[in-house]
Amino acid sequence: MTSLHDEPHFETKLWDVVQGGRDSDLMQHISTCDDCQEDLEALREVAQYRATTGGVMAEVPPSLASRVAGLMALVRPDLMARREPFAEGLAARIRRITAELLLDSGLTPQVAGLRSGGNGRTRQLAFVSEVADLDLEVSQFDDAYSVAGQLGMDTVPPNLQIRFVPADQDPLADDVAGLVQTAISTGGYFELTLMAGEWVAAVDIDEAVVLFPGVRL
Amino acid sequence: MQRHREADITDQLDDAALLRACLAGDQDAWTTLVNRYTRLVYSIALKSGLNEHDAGDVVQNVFTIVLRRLESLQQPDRFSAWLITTTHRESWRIGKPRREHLSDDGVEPVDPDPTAESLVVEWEHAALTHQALEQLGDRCRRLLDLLFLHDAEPGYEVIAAELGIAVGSIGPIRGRCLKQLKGHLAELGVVDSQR
Repeated sequence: MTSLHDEPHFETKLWDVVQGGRDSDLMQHISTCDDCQEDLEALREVAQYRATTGGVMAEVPPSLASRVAGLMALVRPDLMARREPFAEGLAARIRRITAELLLDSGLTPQVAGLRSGGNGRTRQLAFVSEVADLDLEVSQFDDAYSVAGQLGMDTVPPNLQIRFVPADQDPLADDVAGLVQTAISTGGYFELTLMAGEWVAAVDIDEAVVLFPGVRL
Repeated sequence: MQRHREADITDQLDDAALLRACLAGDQDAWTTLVNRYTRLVYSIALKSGLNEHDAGDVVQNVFTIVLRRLESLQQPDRFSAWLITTTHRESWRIGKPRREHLSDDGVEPVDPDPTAESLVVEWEHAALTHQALEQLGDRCRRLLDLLFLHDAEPGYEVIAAELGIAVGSIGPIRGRCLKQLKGHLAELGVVDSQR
């Protein structure tokens, strides 16, 4: 059954409330309806936005945006002259943190308790660093490897990515051939498929890049 | 990839850090600052009654003032408030000849008191709400626009046709979209996240 909150045109009634309307039956309903109160809170902001902007922040003509972006060279050539390549400096300041491979069950088969399923084809690797830890579970199928992992941090930031780079390439380089990357969930989990070879995993966290070298498949 | 990461990092810098980088002559930082605020400055100028050409002049003048005052900007962490105030002043200045012309015709100009704190708060708020609306998916953004921000106030049938959804779906989708919007507003500190 559709609740009053989900009925068509209900937002018109809420909008009236935002504009100062005080329908007593509606106010009574709103006082017991959490969804309505949430809607009202958002709608008040929308109404204020409309009152301030007229409904939309105007699109800036691209030619104007381009002119303004170019003002620095025209107005402050003195700054340009003493230019420090800020982005490059920033890149140089990006901290490289190399994690330590604490465990590779493929290299230490005596740690039998870490093998899952006992099929002998699943490996576990564990890395530790000052910023984040990484656990990998690697399963071989045909000539590829399925890698399931978890990044361990106090709080995993949103929109984090992990990339695996062939070990013979610079993981911070502009163009890396054979790069494989995927998103990390807020719980720190991810999955991807890699081919045989040696890989370095890398994760950008704030202004550091954490490297996990020695993923040999 | 390296450049993407640098651009991402520059995007994430707060205003004070960007202004410091601009002082160091960094064009990327300037471009980020311009991208962050041009739309706000242009919107304020248009809303103050200027035409597109004059509003464009305001944008150029305001950002020229920013560049000239980089060293002396007080409270760089309140840059957006300063920028809004400066934009109102500049809009008022550029619109003055036209108002004087109107005044000759018997229409009294009204000083909008461009330094009023309430205006600054309103536009700072609007900029954040705009950011929250931009974070919505395309369907939600269009639906809320058609329902609440569109001057034409189109009917349900028109909205449904425009979005390719059933009329009966508008209510439930609207509820979900407002909930998402409230979440984004809470993340930006515009509304309380507790409720």
